[in-house]
Amino acid sequence: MNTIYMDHNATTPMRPEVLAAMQPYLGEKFGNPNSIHRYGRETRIAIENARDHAAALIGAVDSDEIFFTSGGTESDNWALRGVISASHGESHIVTTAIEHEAVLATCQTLVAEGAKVTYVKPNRKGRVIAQDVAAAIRPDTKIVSVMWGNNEVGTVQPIHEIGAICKEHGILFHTDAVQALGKVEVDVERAGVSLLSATGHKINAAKGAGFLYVKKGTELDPFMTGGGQEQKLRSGTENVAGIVALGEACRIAKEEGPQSAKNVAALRDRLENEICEHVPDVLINGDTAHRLPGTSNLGFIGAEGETLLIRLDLEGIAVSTGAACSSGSPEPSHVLLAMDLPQETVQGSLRFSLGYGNSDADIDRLLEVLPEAVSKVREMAPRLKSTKT
Amino acid sequence: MAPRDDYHYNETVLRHIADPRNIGVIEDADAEGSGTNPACGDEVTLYLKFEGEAVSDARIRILGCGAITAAMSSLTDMVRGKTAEELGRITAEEIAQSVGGLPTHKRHCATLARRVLQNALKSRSLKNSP
Repeated sequence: MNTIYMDHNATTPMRPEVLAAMQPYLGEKFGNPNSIHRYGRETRIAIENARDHAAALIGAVDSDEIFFTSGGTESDNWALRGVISASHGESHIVTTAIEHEAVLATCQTLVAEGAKVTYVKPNRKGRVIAQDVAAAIRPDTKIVSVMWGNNEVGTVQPIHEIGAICKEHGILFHTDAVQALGKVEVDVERAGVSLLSATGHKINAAKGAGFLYVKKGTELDPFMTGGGQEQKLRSGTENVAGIVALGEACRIAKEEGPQSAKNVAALRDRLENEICEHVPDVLINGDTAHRLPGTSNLGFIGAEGETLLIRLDLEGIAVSTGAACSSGSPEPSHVLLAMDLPQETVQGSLRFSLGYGNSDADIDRLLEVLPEAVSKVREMAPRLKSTKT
Repeated sequence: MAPRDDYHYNETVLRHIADPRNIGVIEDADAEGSGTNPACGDEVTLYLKFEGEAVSDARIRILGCGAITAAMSSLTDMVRGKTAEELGRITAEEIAQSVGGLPTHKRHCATLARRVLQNALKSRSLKNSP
């Protein structure tokens, strides 16, 4: 069966040139970059090249502001815990109700340890209003954490405005840019960002390697202690192959990102327009004026997202849903709930996330299959509502 | 040994989702039961037709996830030929097992399927009561 992957917000395929770049570091170039001999020297050079590419992609002033981690979750954990741990007195965090679980669960843990957290609600399009963030800031606020682009509905947040507010208040600003990196222009200096989380596997590199950008002068305690790697802030022998892949993916994103984003956005718009044309009762979830280029989250009224997802999967098309019980949780997506969408929109939600490798032929195939799948699922729905419990 | 996959659906469940059995309505049903799961919005109706004491036909309508679809689809086969008393003894575990088991976070769907069956049996008792 020919398969079509439309779930790039979950993870992405590795690009062949990225795989080729990392392969020697899974084989003959196996040295520990902290060793003094030639084996160590050659892997150290590779890591520092990767650091340069990562710094260039996000507009960091200095490559030393890039700290390699195991990925987005570790970077989010480290940013929040590291800042709170390094701060003094009462700790208050401002974040949003639509952050990734890596931020939300870390905040919950910090609350158990005595911190206070304010969760700013987005509007019905999943966008946070910068002034609402400003209003949540208190004298004891140590950090503001707002994701750059949302993974479920793709809404891009007003990062530059929030960055300016944080600067004005002298508060650290962390952003989870895992979904935004390589898709929209990310410039930490212009955005006023102090800490930024990123991961390789969302930009066509390997799983298990990411980075945290830490602006020079930011007070941050280490999260992993040990041998003192990464300027004594993130110990552990580096995942050399993963970091090389991440660096190569950053290099490509810097070079091709703007054009790729245009191409992917055109495909996404076609997908969305034609679905809305061929399938009745479909709503777009998210902010079409401020959205990641490849993301389309649609609500199929009167259908159930997971059943649709499986019907598409059985036809070889991979998508995602925010409907309840679809990711191990009995509740629907916290993002869609925070947007105050009606239950039937949440229940019938499907996320199409396009990226490297998708083509018009994929959209054609989806349009052959989806209208019938939706229609079949809708036909199954109860028409009588008596004797409910 | 690798841990059992407690997250994904097995092939039997997937087959039921792809082609659920006995979707429809019995207009002159002898028993009808509905149920919802407020947390996720799943909504199900079961119709039963009896011939003598045993179920001769069962139909379902579903707006719900893969697990409830598979559980109800399988239940329509399980109930055929059974008496009301036998139907009353069907457990949620038996419904889950009939599709080869459900992931832990989906077991509540088998419970909902059983509740819908119980509601149908109650409706039959009410119809038959003098």
